[in-house]
Amino acid sequence: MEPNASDERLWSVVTADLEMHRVEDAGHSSFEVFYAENYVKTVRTAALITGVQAVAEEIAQDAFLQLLRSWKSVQHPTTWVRRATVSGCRSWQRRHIRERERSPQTEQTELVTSDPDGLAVRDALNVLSPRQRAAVVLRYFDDLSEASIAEALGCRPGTVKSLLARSLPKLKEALRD
Amino acid sequence: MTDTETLLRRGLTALASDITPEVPTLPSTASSRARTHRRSRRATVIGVVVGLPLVGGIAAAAGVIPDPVQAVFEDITGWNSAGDVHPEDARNVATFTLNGTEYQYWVSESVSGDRCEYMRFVRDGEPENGWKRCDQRVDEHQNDPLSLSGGSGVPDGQIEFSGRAPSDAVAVVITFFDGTTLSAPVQNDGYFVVATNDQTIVEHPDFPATSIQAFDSTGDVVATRNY
Repeated sequence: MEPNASDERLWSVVTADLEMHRVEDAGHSSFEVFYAENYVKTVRTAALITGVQAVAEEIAQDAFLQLLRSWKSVQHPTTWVRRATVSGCRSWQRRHIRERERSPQTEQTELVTSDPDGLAVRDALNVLSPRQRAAVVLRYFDDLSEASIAEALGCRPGTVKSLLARSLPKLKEALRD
Repeated sequence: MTDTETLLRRGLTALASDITPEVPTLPSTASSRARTHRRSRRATVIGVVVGLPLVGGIAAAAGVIPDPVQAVFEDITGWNSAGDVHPEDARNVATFTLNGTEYQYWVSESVSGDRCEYMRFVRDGEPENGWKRCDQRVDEHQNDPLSLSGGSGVPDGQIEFSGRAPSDAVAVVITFFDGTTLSAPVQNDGYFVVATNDQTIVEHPDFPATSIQAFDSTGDVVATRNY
């Protein structure tokens, strides 16, 4: 591959000791305001991912607690809390799978709704793996791009595309039943 | 948009609208208590923390207990997507240090190409768990000659980028949405890791990289990928 001017510029960056320096802009609203505005939305996302509201509330509160710890250095807390929430959901799902294997009778209360579409989707989500479920919720509830979902899940955008592509046929089948 | 996607959006919205948690009230002083009709343990923890100096007990409250690397790989190789990866094959393929935080990129691969990865960071001598994942050889991106992912789970105003470059690459340059760049030396077997505390990059709401290029020792581009 022949280098062009742009590549040469980048190569000069490589050979220099590159470290980006920027002036930090700490201009965002208070933690209390952010918390009040975003707590419910965060619980909803976590509840749709885990399927259990009580667990979702614990996960969301943990996420906000961690955010509080880093509040001074965080400029886009929405993204930050999303990462922490998805991470919390993933940890809970792993623990939950192990606990269910040990004690199959300890099922937790499912989400409740009287809406027929909501009921259908709630049941259909159970056919997905935890990662697929998280990707679907972030895509179709939080309306995130594949890149943002990848960042939240800690995987590559290609993996998100693959997760969603494999989830939709499963959901279609489940929703047909 | 397909019918399935439309129904999904409608159903998820309906489900969510019936999830109506009470927002635990945050007190402004230590003498106050978190107030909620359904008072939970963690709500109280948040309330107390807000009122106290942010020292000492917060780490304990957050419950961050680092696992040894072997234990982490034993955990993640239990996932369905781990294929035939063995925890004992894990090795440190790249490291990078920024402002006292050392990023350790650990990888375990099977001979057939399945791979599990784990990012560990050490601050003030204390190791913490970063992200972990496993990918099977059948995943399409496993064949990419040049890969890049941006690290979530680094909670102190830094973000790491890691991935793998072709074997003849000696460095990669990541270009971000705002035209700034970040370079990283390619270390063992093509793997690299680098981090930045640039807040524009750290807190960008989307994946902040727009491209990555890998260079060989003569300065020639050996691989490029756009995002």
